[in-house]
Amino acid sequence: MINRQFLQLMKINLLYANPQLTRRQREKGKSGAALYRSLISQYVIIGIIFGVAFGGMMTLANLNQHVGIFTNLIALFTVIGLAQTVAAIDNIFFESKDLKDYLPLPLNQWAVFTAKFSVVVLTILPMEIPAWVVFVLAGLHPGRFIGISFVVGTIMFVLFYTCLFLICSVAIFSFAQTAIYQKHQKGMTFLMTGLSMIAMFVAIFIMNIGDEAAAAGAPIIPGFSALHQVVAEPLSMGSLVTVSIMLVVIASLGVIMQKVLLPKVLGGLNIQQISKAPHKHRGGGITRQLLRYNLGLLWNPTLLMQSFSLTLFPVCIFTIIMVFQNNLSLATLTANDAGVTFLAGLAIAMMAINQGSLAGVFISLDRQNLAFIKSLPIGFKQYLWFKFKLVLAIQSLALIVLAVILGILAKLMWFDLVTLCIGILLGNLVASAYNYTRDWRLLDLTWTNVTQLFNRGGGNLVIGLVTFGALMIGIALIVAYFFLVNTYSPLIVNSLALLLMAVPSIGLLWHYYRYWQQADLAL
Amino acid sequence: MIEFNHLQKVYDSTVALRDLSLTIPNGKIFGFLGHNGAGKSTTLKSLVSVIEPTSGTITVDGDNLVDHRLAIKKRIGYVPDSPDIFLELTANDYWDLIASAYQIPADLRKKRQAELSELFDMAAHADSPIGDFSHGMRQKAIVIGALLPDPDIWVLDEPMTGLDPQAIYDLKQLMKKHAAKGKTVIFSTHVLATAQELCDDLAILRHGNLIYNGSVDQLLNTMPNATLETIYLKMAGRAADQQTVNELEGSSRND
Repeated sequence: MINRQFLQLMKINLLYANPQLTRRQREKGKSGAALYRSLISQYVIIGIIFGVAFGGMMTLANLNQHVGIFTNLIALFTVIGLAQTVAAIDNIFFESKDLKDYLPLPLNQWAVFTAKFSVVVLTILPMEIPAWVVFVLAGLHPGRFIGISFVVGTIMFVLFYTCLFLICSVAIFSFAQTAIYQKHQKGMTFLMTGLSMIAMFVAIFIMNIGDEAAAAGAPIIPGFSALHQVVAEPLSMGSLVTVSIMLVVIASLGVIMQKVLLPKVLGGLNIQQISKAPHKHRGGGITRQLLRYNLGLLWNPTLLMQSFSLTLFPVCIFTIIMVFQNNLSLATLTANDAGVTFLAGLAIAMMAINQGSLAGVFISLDRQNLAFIKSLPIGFKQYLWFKFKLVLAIQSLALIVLAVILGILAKLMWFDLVTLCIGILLGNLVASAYNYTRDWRLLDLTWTNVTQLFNRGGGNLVIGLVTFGALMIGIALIVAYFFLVNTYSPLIVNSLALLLMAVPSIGLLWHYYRYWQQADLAL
Repeated sequence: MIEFNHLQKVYDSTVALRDLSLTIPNGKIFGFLGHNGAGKSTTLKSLVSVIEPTSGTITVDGDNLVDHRLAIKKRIGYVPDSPDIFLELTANDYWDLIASAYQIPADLRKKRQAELSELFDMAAHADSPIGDFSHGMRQKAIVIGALLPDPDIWVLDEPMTGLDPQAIYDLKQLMKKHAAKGKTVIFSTHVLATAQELCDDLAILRHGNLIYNGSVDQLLNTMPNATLETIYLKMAGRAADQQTVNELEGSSRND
């Protein structure tokens, strides 16, 4: 019977982990077993893609001989695995907020937790398939039956990731018990997922900057070399000791989870807290009230992290790769190139402000409140205009900070930095107007998970295409502009370019102005 | 028989429930009345294990809730005060969860689900996500779920909210039928007419204190010609009459 409960709970958690896909499949008429099969198949497909793509690359290196490469790869996938686990645990245990709903039901609490953990594992496993390939490949050497490498590699993969998973779980659930976490839950969640994302970013960055020649002579990371020994020489004394230590660690962490942490989590669920500190009444006019309300809408760690990962994150990666890997220096640029940096600013803003931006979801964030706000004796159009200005200001601030960092790192002269910022502001204005209007056209006030908002329309594919397209077109235009300005009279080229950039920008802004003037604001 | 013994619930410095002791016999419809924040939901949520009382005990047929939690949960069907739960699931998914949690045999579940879905006009919506339902339909889905296991104790926290008149009527009939089978129905409400119509016994709470526990008839007899509304407002209303409370407390104790 517990198995039946467990299976049922696993199904539910699968649905919770994939709300958009579930909705799409249901719209296609799928239900029951067919629905769950399609949900699981996406993990399988991602796993196969990752396994083939990365695993294929790894077959080029002789991992049995090159311990350094092995340890570096395992370290890389360890960081990615840890980051993924933090995000998945946060999403499935804390963000879904359904644990309390199970309390009145006669369910075995361990079934509830195990089902949730299973879905966490299912979520992160596809990304870690390349690590499994690494473990298997490292065991391959002439004269040994391939099946032995496969079995030993698989066992090591399972042991290693069980260890990692438990370390991460113990850390997160211990942290969730602390007073600071409970007092500033949103902030801590933001910090936790943010740090894990930065860690993943650094890992990917390191992977990007490393070249094969350097990798061949990569230094051996001490802790991970013991894992190599296990797959290379499974029956040696050192290997047996390593495996024993891993088993002891798994058992110890498992006991800590089962006996100490999970009962505390369960106990904490049915202790409802009423905030002790009385909320100070903060007066102010309607504008200040609306400002506080709208800033509150944005103070959602999942929203901020997802929006960041879809908008500024690609720009940050691009910037860091250009500055650090390609030693980008713009010190040679002069005031004559101010138009080029202005265009670069436009391109950066267009790349960053896509449908995953805050402007692209800000109206929908109001949910059912929007209808209520419409009923208030304040101008609804003025309210939407107020929201637009607010989100524009927030995005401008973030982009300007990024631009200033880029300018300083690339040694850009102050005048060009100013035009870069002006370009960013104009690009942000146009892209925000487009995405804000798009949000209104595709308005969704009944979302239950903020990810649903990002996946409207073309979903992540379109975000990727827009980002990539803006990057490619932007680079092409910048190169052409740079060439022209350094070949012909800068005054003429800059004047013409300004005209070419200003006319379509003003045209677009006029289009959106007219749209909102004439828009039927029926909900 | 359900016994609350010296139940107390304190949220930080706020006392939500103060030394509540009362007994609910089997086979009765028992109502909790009280203003917002009086302690009705806290009492019900303590019984269904959603919150943990600060002190005191709850026993069901002599079994302490803390020691026999899973077994007691299996005997209780709960309709929470907000039906906004499991919004990503379809009604069918939700009922599957209930069926597996309560270990209801498949054929029995199918039969009950068909009857209840038909009664509440939910059969056509079984494969739609609960999140797409109106408030009333969500409430119906949750009520059906609570009744699938045919629980010994049916706990409903303000169950009529958001239901259409037909559904309210059907729900009241179901509550009566459930009690007629010898099972216990416990609910909280702000609708005094409903309490008067349904309850065998009731408890009135005020600021976390139990100020009346007894039968509806007995309460009405204390003030001939007065309606339940008049009596309730005298006891728990803005200008609660302390003397009336004392008299009624005395009468409910002497009973």
